[in-house]
Amino acid sequence: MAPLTEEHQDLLQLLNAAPVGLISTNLEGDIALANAVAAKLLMPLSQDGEMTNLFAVLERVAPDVRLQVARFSPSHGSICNSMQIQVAASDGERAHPTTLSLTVTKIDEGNLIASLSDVTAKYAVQHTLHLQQIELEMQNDKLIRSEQALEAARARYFDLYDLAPVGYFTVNESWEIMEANLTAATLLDVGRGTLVKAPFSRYILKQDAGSFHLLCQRLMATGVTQVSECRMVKSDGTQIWVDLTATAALDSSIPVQRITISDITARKQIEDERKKIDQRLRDQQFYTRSLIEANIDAIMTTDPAGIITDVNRQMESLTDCTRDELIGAPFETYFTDPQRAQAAISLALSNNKVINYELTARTRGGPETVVSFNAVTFYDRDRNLQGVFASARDVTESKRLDQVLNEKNVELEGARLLADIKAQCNWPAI
Amino acid sequence: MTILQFTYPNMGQVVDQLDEHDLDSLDFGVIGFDHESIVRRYNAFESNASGLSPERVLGKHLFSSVAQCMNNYMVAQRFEDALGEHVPLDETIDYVLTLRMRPTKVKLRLISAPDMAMRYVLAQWNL
Repeated sequence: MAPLTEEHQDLLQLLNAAPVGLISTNLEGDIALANAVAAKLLMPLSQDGEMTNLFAVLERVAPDVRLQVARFSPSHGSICNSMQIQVAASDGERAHPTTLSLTVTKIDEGNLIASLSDVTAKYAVQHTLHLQQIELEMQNDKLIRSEQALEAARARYFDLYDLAPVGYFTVNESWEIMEANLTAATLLDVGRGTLVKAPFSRYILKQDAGSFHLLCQRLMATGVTQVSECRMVKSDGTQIWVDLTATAALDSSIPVQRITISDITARKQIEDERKKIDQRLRDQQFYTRSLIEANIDAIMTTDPAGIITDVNRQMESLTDCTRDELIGAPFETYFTDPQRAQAAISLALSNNKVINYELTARTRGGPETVVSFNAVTFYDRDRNLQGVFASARDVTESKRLDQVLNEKNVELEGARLLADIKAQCNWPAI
Repeated sequence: MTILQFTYPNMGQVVDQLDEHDLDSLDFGVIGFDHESIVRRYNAFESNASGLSPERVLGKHLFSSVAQCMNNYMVAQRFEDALGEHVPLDETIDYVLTLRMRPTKVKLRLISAPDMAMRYVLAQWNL
């Protein structure tokens, strides 16, 4: 081969020193010219070391190039631009995967110019950036999800705080309201904005202001949670009873008081009603008791088995036993003839009543009293037998008078008989 | 004179002893370069194949100035490894060089030895 001219050598050196591979081919890919860098970059792709056709060399890694060239109908123009071609490692440990960038331009009806450059480092940076971008996007997604979760949690806590069945207040050391939940505002029938900066005591009923003031003092002095029931005033002047709990706390290192209020107005009304009913019941019981105690007869009640369940004071006198001693004891114990006494109860239970049944009551010391025993059975609302209501009237005096009367009658009868005899015999009157 | 074959053993020592005239008579390319990769020997066959006169090559850095196409793991890295590890290198590889801008399949013989001042790339062009 003839030596090249200086100019040719300059050109040759320039082309070989170019940092990109340059290849000139026809439309079928047959390589006419290629610089040294092109040969170096394409060499790993050439299975047999032959490098006569660009499409054949690229067949394994970029088969589309041949198709794109075939389909490109204009007389000139860019066919592909910066197409990335991945080249696997081919020489054991020495080789590394590379990334090539291929640009093919049709320069006229029959020729192509291809430029080829090694963009492995650039691609690696891009790839790293891409991975970092993906990682950032994943972190961003994670942050968004965390933010959404926090927002959801915040909404839940908002609901829990605002819609709780308890009114919450945060007050400062001057007992001015700093914050209140919706329930608190609803309970007092005011807007939340109205509550903020208002003295908490403004909503305490005047009559309960003293006890509330003491509660505040105890909390400030001891730091121990204080609980109280007091009345608060709504915006329309109506009162509500609340169960109030005050606790000392720190809000961002600032001492505050947390106050909760629960509306117990309904419970209080029920309690008041119950108190009234209880009072009426106690009045009724007093009246009934008075009637029982006012009776001159000894009165008692027994259960169906004859066990004493109640007595009046006359019964205590009759038996010389206390009410406590009598209640729970068998009825017949306090009579001289227990069998007869038991029979009286049985008779009352079988006939529903006993009238003028004579019994003799006895005291612990021995004195006895003859009584006229009258008894009836009594029932509850459902007509269930509850026991026997009995009265025992002291008939001792009556019995004595009967005795005297009988004796007088006997005397009288004797005297009448003697008078008759004297009359018949004309005896002088004595 | 016996024609020195491309595959001749101990080629490093043999080429080292050839004068420039003998070197130019070889039918394969010879590029001799020192431990700094500066080209010191460049025979006529290689000059003719590459199209570059010796004046344009001698005294230049082989891998960054004269033949960037060999500045890769297949050629340059092998020389650097052998030099760094103080081991001899004598390997023949298939390669593609551009014969005056035309890709041409060649065999390269890479020769280096710790006791040699010069290293060599021999190129057998399939012309």
